[in-house]
Amino acid sequence: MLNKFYRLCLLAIIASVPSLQANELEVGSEGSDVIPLMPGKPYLHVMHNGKSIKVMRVQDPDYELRGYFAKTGRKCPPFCIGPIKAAESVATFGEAEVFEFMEQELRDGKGMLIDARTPEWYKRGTIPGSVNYPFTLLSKDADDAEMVDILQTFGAKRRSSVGMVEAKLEEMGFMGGEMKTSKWDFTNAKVLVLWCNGPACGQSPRAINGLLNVGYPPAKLKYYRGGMQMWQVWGLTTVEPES
Amino acid sequence: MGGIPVPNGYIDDPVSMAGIGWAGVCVFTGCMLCSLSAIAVGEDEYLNQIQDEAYKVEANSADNTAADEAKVDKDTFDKELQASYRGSYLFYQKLPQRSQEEIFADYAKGASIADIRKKILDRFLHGK
Repeated sequence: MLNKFYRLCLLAIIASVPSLQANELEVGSEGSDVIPLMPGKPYLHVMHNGKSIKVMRVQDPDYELRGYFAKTGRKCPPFCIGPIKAAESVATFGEAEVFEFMEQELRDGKGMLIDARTPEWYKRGTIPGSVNYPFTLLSKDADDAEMVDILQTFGAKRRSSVGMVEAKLEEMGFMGGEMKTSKWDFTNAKVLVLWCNGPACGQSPRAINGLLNVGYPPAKLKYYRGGMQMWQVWGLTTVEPES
Repeated sequence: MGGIPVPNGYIDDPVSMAGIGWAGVCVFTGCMLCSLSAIAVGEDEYLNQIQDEAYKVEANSADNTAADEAKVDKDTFDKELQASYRGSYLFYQKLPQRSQEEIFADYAKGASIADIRKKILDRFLHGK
């Protein structure tokens, strides 16, 4: 009883002092020394290989990027600056959208963050929460056994047979046709955010085009163009996959 | 005997019918094979170049790898909560140890800080 009274009193204090919560130190706000991911978001957590990884920026304001991703130029071709879009109907993501994706679709199991680089790149460090599906695999034909496995992992369902009328209706955009091909139903397929080494990297655009070729709906594909280069420019956390 | 009867005046050789001759077919096929192998060589060349480039990346070149802090511990969580969200920390402190541990477990599993703060308040007010 006394406990309840105590709680009620505290509740009354909260109600009468609305600034109590507002007065909480907001990390990243003016006057704070913390460098946040973005306003109101000091850091976030993402699961990577069963471990919770804290994604944050390097907190040293004098930190300067060194090493491979600090380079301004590479041999072109093949490492030429690419367009903002990987494919006409596929949305391009920046870092803020990737953070949001990590906290929503990725956390809810409705999305996957795809490191589309070859394993040699992946093992040298990746973005937390990413899984490695090299573009060489994602460019295979729809009937290829590896591609079939991958599409099923992404949540697509194989279709047995489609009647002529059904196919025609789907072609016209009815019955969820935009999420289906004659061979695959992508209705419950995951949203995929694909990335590679940055704006001068062709690996994730190739992976995206490979997935579009097998019928993956463009609305479920996103291109994080900044990739590892921009991730490191912002001083964001990376992980080294366990061997 | 044998074969499909061909009506008079019908040429049964589609190549001859198209007027390109077998030599033309051979040249066309050769060109196709050359261009396909050029594409394949191009892809191999691209793969070789990106493999070579990968070896230029120094392992652990970034100062912000999470290898050492992959495991979040409860003390760090408590300190961060205290430093960043004092009001929530005030209520969190009043919770029994078991509730604190449950809240930390949610955090370690990746729950957002907004959810964590809401849970702290719920636990405090309703003992849920």
